[in-house]
Amino acid sequence: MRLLLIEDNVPLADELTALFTQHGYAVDWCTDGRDAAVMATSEPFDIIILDLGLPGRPGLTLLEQWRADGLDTPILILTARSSWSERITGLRAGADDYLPKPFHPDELILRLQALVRRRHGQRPSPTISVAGVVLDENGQSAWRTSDDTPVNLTRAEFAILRYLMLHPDHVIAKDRLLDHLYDSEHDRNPNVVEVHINHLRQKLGRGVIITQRGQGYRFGGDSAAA
Amino acid sequence: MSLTRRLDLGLLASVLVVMLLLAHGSVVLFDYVLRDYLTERLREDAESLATLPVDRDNQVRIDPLRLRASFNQVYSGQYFVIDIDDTIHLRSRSLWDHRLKPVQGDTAQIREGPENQSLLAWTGQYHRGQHHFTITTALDYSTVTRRLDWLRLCIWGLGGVMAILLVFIQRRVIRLGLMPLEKLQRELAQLHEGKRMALETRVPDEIAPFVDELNHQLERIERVLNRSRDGIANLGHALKTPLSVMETQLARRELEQFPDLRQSLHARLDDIHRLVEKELQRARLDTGEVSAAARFQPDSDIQPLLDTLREIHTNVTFINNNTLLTPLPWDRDELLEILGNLLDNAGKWAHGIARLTMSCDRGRFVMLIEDDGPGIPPDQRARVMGRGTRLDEQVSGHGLGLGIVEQIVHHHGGEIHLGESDLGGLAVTVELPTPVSN
Repeated sequence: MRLLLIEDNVPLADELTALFTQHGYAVDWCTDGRDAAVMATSEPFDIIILDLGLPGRPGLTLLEQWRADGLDTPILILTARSSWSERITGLRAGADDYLPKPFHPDELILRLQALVRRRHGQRPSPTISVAGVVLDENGQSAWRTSDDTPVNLTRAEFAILRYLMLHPDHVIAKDRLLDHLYDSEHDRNPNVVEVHINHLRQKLGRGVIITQRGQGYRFGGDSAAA
Repeated sequence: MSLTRRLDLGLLASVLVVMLLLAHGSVVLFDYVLRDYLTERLREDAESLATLPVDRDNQVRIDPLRLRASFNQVYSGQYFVIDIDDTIHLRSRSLWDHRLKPVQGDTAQIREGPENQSLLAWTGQYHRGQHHFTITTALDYSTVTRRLDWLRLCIWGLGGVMAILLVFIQRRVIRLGLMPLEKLQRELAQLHEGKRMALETRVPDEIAPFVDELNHQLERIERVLNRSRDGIANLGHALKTPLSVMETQLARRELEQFPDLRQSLHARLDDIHRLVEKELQRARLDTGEVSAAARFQPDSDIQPLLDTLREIHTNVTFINNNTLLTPLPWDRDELLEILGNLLDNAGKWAHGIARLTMSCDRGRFVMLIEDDGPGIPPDQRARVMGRGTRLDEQVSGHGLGLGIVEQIVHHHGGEIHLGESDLGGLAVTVELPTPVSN
């Protein structure tokens, strides 16, 4: 899950980056509105967190510009402006959610998950359940409905599984998977992805991720139940 | 006492005093001039009497035919007495039996006459041959006195009429002169109601410095207020980011071993947040001005709010029972804040339905927000109000909404009640008195 954090306050951005990484997001961070304008359209982000009071360009202008350009990435506004009229203004400008500061980190994470889930046509619930496999986003664990014993996942495994589960029935090219799993500064090693996928197969059964030679990976679900 | 009244009374008093003095003075002057003139006549009369023929035996006879007719007519008002050598005593027939004594001094004097007449009498000494004549002539002065009294009355009357006229004229002048002050008064009233930021009436030079100074002070106050308001707003908004940082730091795994500390720090952060929101709201409310553009328009402002709420609470149906179409005399942001918070609360608690009803009734604007959730038992309602506490930690939100709603409602002199809805849940009624429009 690639996440773009646009926030000019360094301590907050540091904390949030740590928080998001912990929850399996690959975070890119911008402090300036002009950088953000370019970055949001050049990289395939899954979600954008936008502060409204930005140097360079005001957040609302950015938001309106992106929506006018057809960018449909879910955007959550994170701002100190807490009144309802400002909230309505933000949402009408094209944001998908609006969270006033100060917020509880748990709530922010829940809102992010709900936004991503909604984008992929799933009901917002604490778990993602596809084809006999259940993923708990908060616990970062997964289990097969056939045996119901949760298996803990590493951050990378969790991120890969979540991405594949959010796009079931899609074949995801390795490059695309890499794009969504690592931020722009991270060293991308395709072999590492293979290692993680092997781990996942060991934990949840061989059929959970199907390799389509030459094309990429596809979520296969619970092979035992199938 | 008003300035006009004071000036009226002052002018009236001074005009009356002047008129009195004028009336009296002119009567005294007339009297003096008339006496002077009549004395001359008396002297002429006396001189003509002194030339009356005297007999050879030194007997003075007065031939009545040679005298003026009025000397012969009884109490006619013209008299004389002639003493010759203190032996012969002659009187005009008009005196009849009245005695008239000679007058001392060179000027004519008032003596008592017959039939309540007051006489102006003059005595002259003449020598003719061996004879010494003392001739006293007199005439009735009471007619003159009566005329002078009438004149005095006339002048008084005239003076009175003039005084009243002057007061009226002055009133008019004062009113015209004070016209800018009346305008100023109206502007001050508008200023008081916050509909105006400066006095703009053109005022006379005498009070222009006051108005200029007042405007200057108003501008200064406005500037200071704006600065402090902006200061509070900036501080408030700036504080929220560090608060967010601390909240996020509190959620770190390392702190999981200290749940008490975490809880307590969390509560303090919430306190700070609550205070910040309260002061921010106060700073917003102090702005006070509602321009026509910023007014709440029920028909166009509620829909976006409900759309937003429907996105937040996807499982709740929001029903809009609003029939009002005209703009309401309150700030858009403030009413949105009230409605947003209350409807958001309703959405959090509702099982499936939240309903907004707005109505205007006898000068009061009523908003009713209901839900079909669990409601609040009557004994706990008082606790919910007043402090903005939250009853259930499970439902997200910082429990601030109600406090802010109360702050806005009280600022506008309104009331807020919690009750039971026929939907089964909580019914929040907000009543705002319609401001008196002028």
